[in-house]
Amino acid sequence: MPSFDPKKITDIHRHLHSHLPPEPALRVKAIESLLVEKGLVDPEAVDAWIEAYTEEIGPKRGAQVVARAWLDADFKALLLSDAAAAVTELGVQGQATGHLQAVENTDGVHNLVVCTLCSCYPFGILGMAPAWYKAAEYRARAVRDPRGVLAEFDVALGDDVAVKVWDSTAELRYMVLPQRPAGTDGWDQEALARLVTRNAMIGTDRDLSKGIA
Amino acid sequence: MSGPLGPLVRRDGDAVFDEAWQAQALAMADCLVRADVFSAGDWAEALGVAVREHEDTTEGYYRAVLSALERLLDRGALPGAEIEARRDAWARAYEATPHGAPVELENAT
Repeated sequence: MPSFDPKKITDIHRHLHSHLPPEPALRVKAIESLLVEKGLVDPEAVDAWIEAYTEEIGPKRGAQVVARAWLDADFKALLLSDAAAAVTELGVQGQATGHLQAVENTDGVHNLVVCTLCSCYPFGILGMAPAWYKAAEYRARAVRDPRGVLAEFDVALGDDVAVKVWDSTAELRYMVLPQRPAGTDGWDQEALARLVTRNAMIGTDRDLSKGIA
Repeated sequence: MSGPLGPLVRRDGDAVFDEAWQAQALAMADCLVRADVFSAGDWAEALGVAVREHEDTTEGYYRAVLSALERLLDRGALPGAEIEARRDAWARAYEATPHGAPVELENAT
């Protein structure tokens, strides 16, 4: 026999009409409102952070750094010896680039960056890390089987190419300086920067000549 | 493409954030590091522990971010009990606010 429970009906009705956010969203809202009240977080800084890292920055800054290094030998030398200084010189310093090291791909060496602990990433110049960079599978396999991971990304390396894997930490984050593709003589920095992919700066992409129309 | 795409590559085009709270949680963590509420090293360590406790998906990753954030704050800057109380207040405010009206804590009953 179906029974009619006015209180239950009211509760269901109330529940259906409430627009309670999902639990994590509710917790984030609680934390943010408390941190703002305590003066530990500036709400405008949080909004500015989100806007900058989702839209403005992306990997574009990193691509400019790479293109400049391809064109300017002095800048490249500085990038490889003191990446933070080089990035600052280019005027694209993000606050998260203080401890940055650039590692150079050559004919005989391919570099691959991972953070085995969590997801440390030079997001000040590369934007937010891609989803796979944060995946347990990538964090484990990049070290154990880098060539297998690279093959998945369609990067085939000959036996004469050594793979170096760099494990990023909170104190030291890496970016790869990819090789300039042939057939780009006389190109300016903007044109070169457009060839540079985010994955090339992480190391899951190598041959950038495919971007040449 | 040479051969079938692996599982990692299939995630290559995934959105960085699926929900606004995910961006807010990460933004707060980074702002707190910059404000020296906790160090970058403490953050990486706490996040490293948390990601092992959560599902290996985008949603799971950001739940780990939130969990690491709560744990670090609970060490002093913001006790967990305060977060629970405020979470409950917001929940009551949402439920007491008529649809379409702005949700304010004052609406909590």
